[in-house]
Amino acid sequence: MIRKIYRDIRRVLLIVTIIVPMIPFLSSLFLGYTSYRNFVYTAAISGAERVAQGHAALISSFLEERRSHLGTILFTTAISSLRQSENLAVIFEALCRNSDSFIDIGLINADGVQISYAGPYQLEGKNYSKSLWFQQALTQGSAISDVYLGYRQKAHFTVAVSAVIDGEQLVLRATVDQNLFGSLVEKVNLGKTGEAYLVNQQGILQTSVRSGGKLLDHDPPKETERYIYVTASLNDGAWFLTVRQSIQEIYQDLSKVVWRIIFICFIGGFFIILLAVWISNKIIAMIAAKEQERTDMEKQLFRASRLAELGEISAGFAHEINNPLQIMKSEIALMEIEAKELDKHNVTADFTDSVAELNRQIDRCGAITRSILDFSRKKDSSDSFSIDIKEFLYDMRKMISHRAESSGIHISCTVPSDLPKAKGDSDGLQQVTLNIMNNAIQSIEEKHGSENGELRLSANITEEKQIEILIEDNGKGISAENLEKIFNPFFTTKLPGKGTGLGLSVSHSIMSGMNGSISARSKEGQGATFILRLPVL
Amino acid sequence: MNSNRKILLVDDEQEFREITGKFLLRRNLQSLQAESCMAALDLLAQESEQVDVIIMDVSMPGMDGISCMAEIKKSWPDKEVIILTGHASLQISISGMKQGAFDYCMKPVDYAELLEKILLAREFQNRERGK
Repeated sequence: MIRKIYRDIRRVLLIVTIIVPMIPFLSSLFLGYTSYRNFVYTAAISGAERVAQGHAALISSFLEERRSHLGTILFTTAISSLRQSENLAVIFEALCRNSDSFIDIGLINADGVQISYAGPYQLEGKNYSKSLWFQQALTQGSAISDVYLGYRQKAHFTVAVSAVIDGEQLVLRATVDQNLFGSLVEKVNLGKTGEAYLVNQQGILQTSVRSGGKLLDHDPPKETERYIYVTASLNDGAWFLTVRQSIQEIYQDLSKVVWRIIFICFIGGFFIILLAVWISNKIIAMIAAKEQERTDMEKQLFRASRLAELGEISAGFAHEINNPLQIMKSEIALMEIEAKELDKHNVTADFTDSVAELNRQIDRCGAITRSILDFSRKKDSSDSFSIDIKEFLYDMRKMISHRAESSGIHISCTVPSDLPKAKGDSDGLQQVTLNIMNNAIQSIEEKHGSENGELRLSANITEEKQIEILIEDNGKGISAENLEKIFNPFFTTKLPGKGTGLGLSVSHSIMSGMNGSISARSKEGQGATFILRLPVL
Repeated sequence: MNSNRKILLVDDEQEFREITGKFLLRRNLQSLQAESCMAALDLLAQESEQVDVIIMDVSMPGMDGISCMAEIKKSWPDKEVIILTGHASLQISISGMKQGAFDYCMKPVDYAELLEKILLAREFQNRERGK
């Protein structure tokens, strides 16, 4: 159940710790990508605009130069000379040396009749009075026509200038080589896919389109999803230069960026997941540790409550048992008195022995109930106060001195005067010390009788900053086998009726309750040493 | 003079009071009996002159033996109290001694020991009175 909860928590933690950092991480990558894409697009548009304007200026300059050439000829050459086709041919030849873009040249009178002509066609005498460029030249002084087929049925356009010379308005016109002009227009420097073409106001192509679109066709519909388009006007607004570039080319560098973003996504995502797994495991471990701590505490509380319960039961038990024991003892006491009186009338010795045995067994039961009570009544270490060990040990020596002296036991007591005070309950320590000393006296009596007994009390401070009390005797000692069991409840080596086997286990319990300890070392036949340790105050 | 003095037995167990009274009588010691602390105080208020030693159980309903002893000592400081404890522990006995008990016995009481302590208490009392 607990493991399932941990799995659920871990799953939620993993989801949260992965999703939460992933959202800003991916958002920033996406925003970066779209911003860069917009920047690339805007930069491409700006670049195309610059190219279109530069190219339009170049084409305008070309046209203006052609117009200027014609103007120079018209204003600087004698009209009589221009009227002669032979002379015009000479002039045209000279013009072509400077500018190879002209195909032919002709002089037109005010009626639109071409009075002289030089070029590859037979166009002398042709009437241009209806041509728009002719009318425009008459009224505005110069004109550049749209591309048209004309008499020769070949695409071309005309540059014309007019002037009134000697009272007669004349128009000098020249045809521009459409191939040369077209290649000039198309020669735009804009990447691999960049191209340029001209359309007039009616949307008729004035140059061909490299990627598809014939001269004099209608301007093809704009494919804005595939190309960017930029336009610039020229020829006094009569033509529009359109520059376009493939969007795919514009964004070709973007694919590199996309690959980088995908790489960053993988690396970043990998680290985020790694971190999420690490954090989740760490948190789960912390929760599990806390849960274990809580469970341990609950167990301790449960144990404590069970002990308290046991204490209450034991108290009731002791009370209930002690009272009938008391009555039995009292009755026996009376029986003994009666027996002594009856003895005078030959009461048997067996009766007296039986009464004595009953007394012993009742005393044994009483001792057991007392010990059970003491064992269950654990003292809380919060009842601590200070114990002056020197004073304490001297008092203890005094308490047992009469009994010890009667058994010929010498008691020594050695405590350094600068020994710090111990932290503990003096009543509890008194009970423990008395118990050990009584055991020691019995052990000495068993080995030495009533002579040569030695009981040494001493105290010192250990390296672990604990007060150590040593109670050493030269009694019969404890075997290695028994030494392991002496603190177990109900373990005794005394004769039946002489010991309950609870004294040392109660002592152990009391010392633990004071955050102290009790231990023993001994060799059989060579006495025993009991070591009590208590924290320094 | 002392032979006329009585022992006051304070214990909630009637059987114990009766049998102990019988035992004391067999040892030529007169006794009075009280089943609680309040009964003991009432009895002392009426017959304090007759009582010299009090045998007091620690565990009794109402006021416990140690508190009862403290109350008695306030009004009759010359009375010597021997405390009996069924809830035997050295701490309770030490606590009783610190609060003025002459001595203590642990239940089940050894009558020879009790008798010895009663006589010692009387001797001590006589010495104190003789001063």
